Amino acid sequence: FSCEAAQSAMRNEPAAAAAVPNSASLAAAVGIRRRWAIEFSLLHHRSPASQSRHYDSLSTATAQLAAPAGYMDRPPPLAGGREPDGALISKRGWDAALGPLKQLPMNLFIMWMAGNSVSIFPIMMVLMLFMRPIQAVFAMQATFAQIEGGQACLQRFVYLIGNLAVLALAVYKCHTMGLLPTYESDWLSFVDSPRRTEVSGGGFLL
Amino acid sequence: MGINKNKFSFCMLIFLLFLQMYSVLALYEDEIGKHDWTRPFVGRVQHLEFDLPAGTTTKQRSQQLQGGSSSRRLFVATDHNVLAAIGLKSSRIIWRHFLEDAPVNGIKLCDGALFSMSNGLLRSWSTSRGILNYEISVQEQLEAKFAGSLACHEDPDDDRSLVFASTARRLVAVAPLTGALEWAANLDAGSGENHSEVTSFPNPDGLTVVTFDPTAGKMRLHRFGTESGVAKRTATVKAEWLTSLQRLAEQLGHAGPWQSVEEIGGQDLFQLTSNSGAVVAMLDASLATGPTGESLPAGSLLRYRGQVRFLLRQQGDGGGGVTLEASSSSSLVASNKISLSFASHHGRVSQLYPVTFVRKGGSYGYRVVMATRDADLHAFDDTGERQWMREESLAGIVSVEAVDLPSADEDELVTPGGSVFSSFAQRLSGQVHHFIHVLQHLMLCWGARPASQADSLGEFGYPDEAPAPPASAASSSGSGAGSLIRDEFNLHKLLVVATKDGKLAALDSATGRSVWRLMIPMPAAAAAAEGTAAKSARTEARIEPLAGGQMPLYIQRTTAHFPLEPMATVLCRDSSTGRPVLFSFNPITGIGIGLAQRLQSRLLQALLVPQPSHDDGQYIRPLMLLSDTLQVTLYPAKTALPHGFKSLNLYTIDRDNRLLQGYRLRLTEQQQQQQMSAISTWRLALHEPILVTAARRPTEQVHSVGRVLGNRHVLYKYLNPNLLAVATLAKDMVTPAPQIGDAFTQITIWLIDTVSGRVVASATHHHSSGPVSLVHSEHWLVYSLWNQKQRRFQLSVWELFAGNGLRDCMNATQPIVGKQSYILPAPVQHLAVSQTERGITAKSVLLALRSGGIMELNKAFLDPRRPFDMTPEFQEEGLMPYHPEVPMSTQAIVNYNQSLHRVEGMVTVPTGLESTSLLFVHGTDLFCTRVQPSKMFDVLKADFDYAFIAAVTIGMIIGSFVTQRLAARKALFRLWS
Repeated sequence: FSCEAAQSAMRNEPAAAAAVPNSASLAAAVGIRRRWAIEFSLLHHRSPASQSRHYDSLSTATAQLAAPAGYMDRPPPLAGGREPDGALISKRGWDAALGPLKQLPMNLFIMWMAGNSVSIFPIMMVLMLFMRPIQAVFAMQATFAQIEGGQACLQRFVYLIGNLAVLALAVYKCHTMGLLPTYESDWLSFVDSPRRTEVSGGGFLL
Repeated sequence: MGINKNKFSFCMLIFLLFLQMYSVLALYEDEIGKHDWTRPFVGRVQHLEFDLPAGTTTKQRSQQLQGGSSSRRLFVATDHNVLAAIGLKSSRIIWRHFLEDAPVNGIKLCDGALFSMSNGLLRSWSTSRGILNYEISVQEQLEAKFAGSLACHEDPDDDRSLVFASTARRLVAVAPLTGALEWAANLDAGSGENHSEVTSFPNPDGLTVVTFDPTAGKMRLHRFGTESGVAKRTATVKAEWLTSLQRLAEQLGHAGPWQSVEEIGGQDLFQLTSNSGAVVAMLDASLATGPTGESLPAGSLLRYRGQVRFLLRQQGDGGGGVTLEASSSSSLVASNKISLSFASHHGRVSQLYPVTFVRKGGSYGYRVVMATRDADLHAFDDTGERQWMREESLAGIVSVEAVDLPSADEDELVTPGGSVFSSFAQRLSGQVHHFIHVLQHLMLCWGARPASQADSLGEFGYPDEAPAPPASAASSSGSGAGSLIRDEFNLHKLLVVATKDGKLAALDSATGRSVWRLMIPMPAAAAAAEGTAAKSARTEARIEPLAGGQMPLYIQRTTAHFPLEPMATVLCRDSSTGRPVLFSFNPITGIGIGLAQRLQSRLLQALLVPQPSHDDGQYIRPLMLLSDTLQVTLYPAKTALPHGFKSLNLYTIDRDNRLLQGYRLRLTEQQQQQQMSAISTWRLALHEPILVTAARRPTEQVHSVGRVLGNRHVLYKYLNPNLLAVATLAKDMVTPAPQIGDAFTQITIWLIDTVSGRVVASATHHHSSGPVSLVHSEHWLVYSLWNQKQRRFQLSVWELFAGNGLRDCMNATQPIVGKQSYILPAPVQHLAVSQTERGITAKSVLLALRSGGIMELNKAFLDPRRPFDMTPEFQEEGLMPYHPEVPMSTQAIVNYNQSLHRVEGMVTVPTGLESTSLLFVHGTDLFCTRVQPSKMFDVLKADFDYAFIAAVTIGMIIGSFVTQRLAARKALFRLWS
């Protein structure tokens, strides 16, 4: 989820890069702040023959060094930026909401592979199957915190349904493994043996 | 040189390896006797022979006598049909043979071999090892019950000796060494064929045979020489007053054989001398009609080969000792008067066997072996000092109850249901009691230390303590009582036993030692109240078991109520009046509580109410006694019936009338007094002889009320605690009779609800016969029987289940009965089932095999649900596929190589450990061990590596600390770098 937020930040980057179209405008921008600059190291390293050409392209070289891809001198204007794309947010929201449902077939396959024997690995898998949807449901608020779209309610509902489906799968798995007390035999040890109310005893004639 | 050295070391290595091999073979030898003990017995001695017959003048014999005194032994034949050799010094059994199920008529030592006569067969045994030399049938055609007699003729002058063996109809003379038949003669015993009795005595010149025909009331004397089978003289004596030779002997106070016969005067007058010295002169009908010379009233005369005469005189009537007067014409007898004393709980002397021998210096010596009324065997030397005692009374155990030892746990002090203050007071007083008890014990230990060191004899060289002081009937020594404290897992118990001779004893379940012994006292008002009963002074009243050899023991108050002492009660019978006698005692100390009490009316049945009444604070479980007039009384009389029971029922099984009857207790108010009586509720006539019955143990715990199936559904058990299983025998009308032999019989097994009298289930096994043994536990029934057609033993199992998931098992109408039978590859004598405290552990069926082993068989092998075709569902349930044969593995024999013969009962007792139950087997031998049907799941094994586990744990802890420190340091360095 946090990764997705990072991804969205990455997606904003091209827009920022588009704001600095060419080196000339950048140089102009730089020129506003710094009137001049002496680059000693460059002088020292360059050969005298190419010096004059170098001085011509000095501003260009400075721009190349200073601006790696996506670098910005000022923080990007968040509030003052463009309005986020509603369609994109909703798409992302649906991605998040449908995530658990999409994982369901894989979970089914994993559980089928795990088998019905009660041993350490199947048990761990079933436990994981229980843990993940429960954790996801508890963290739902955080997941959808940044994806507030018009369909947020529906998305949350679908997300919940998806996680519940995973949970149901886990319960079903427990059932097939025989871990659920669904039969009479599971409650047998709680059945008390009948109390003796009629006493009888005897034997051969004394 | 070096090569030789190498070779030598190599050889040594091989040798050591071989040594190792032997130690590996004996890997579990240290476990022998760790949790089990065996005490072999022979039973009540009926015939006794010393290895060296007294007064023999044969040169060979005296040499033997002087030479090897270590090999001295005595040979006994007992009521358990045992022929055994017992070391005269060690008291140990040297060899022992179990003869067929017919009484031993006599044993005789003749010409260096031992002869026994039983079932019409004369057998010769080697004395040293007990090997059978030969066997001769005295009579051609075998009869159902043989009377027999044995005599030996040894001529001191020539080497010709003869063994005479006689039944009531035939006499044979056999050369002892070869077994060659010298001659035979037919005896005219009279009309009575099967009931004739015979006894014979050697004469200086031959043999006298006395036959007695009780139907005609005639006694015949035959006198034979050694040369031929022609009787030298015969005489007939009318003895209509005599019913039986054996009974006469018993009336005269002993059960042994007649010792000699002498003719007094003419042919019409002769006298029989019995072993304990009672002399009977029997005359012709014209002279007298009864035993005239009724011997000495309180003593008896004993003569031995004319050399030493003993006058046996008994002190008092309560036993405790006899005085033996040895008077002889010879002056070589050391002492003239010795007194042999023994503890009072042995009762009177019943048989006395003296033997004389010639010492190295030429003087005479004698030993006395005597059997007391409780069947114990004592050996005394010349000085009257007892050498040893064999507790043969323990071979006749009829009932066993296990008693928990008193606990030192405080939880037991407080009885539930009291107020805070009363509980506190109870606890305080209990602890003060405990403290005083510990102090007393310490003082006793201090005082008894030298004594306890002195009597540390061998493991079973039971030193019978000196005659008990008259104040305490119990004979527990101080040191013995002190160790009787419950152990951690309640594995150490006291087995209170009652023997058929009216003796009570407590055996320590850990060692097998007798903690205390006590003769059931006669009720006080014996002679005064029962004037009519005292028919003759000779017939001594004694305590005996009730009808059918029953002598039930009831634990009325357990040791759990500390300040109150535990209480057990035995129900027996007074032989003179036949009235039931109740006697209460403390099962831990063996001290009687009150006096024995004779009941005025005969009893039909008795029932120990399963719970004590909490009202009176006495915690005594009342014993309900149902008299033949259907009156119910409680014992002790002051107890009250507990509440909470819907009904109290009793049932009786009448073996003679083949009838089962049920009674219910009815309480009626009459003049503000509760009257108790019983009403007959049901009556079931089976019309077939009843063989055995089995009921569930009332204290049995059932943990699970159902069985889980493979599909995870439940099959509910039919748990009716009031079921009684009965086996009856009838003629088989279905199977055609075999071409040879008798017609087949059939066994019917009935399951009867003893409250309602309803037959819950029954099944018939055709062409089957006994011996049947039954065991019923939880919801199942296992029994063994003999299949006449297939000629093999068969084990069958029934399991009862309640119908479709019916929860209320008490009201279930008719159970579903599953049955299955298996082949048992060995004959079985007795069945039992293991018992655990909570019933969680799997059950084991214990089979006492006739071969002497006790086999533990998991109940899972006996399961009517064992399928013929295995399906995954059955596999899931854990069922084994059906296999007709019961697996018999030697590892399942819990008594390994210690064979137990004539097993008469097996008692299992739950212990504090759920996995373990205590098994006590009684019969001719006693055996006690621990049985663990599901192995020891609740206790770490003995070879558990504590040191290793501890080392690993400590190492892990230290390691975790060290690594924590190291990790912290590393993290710090990383921060700095």
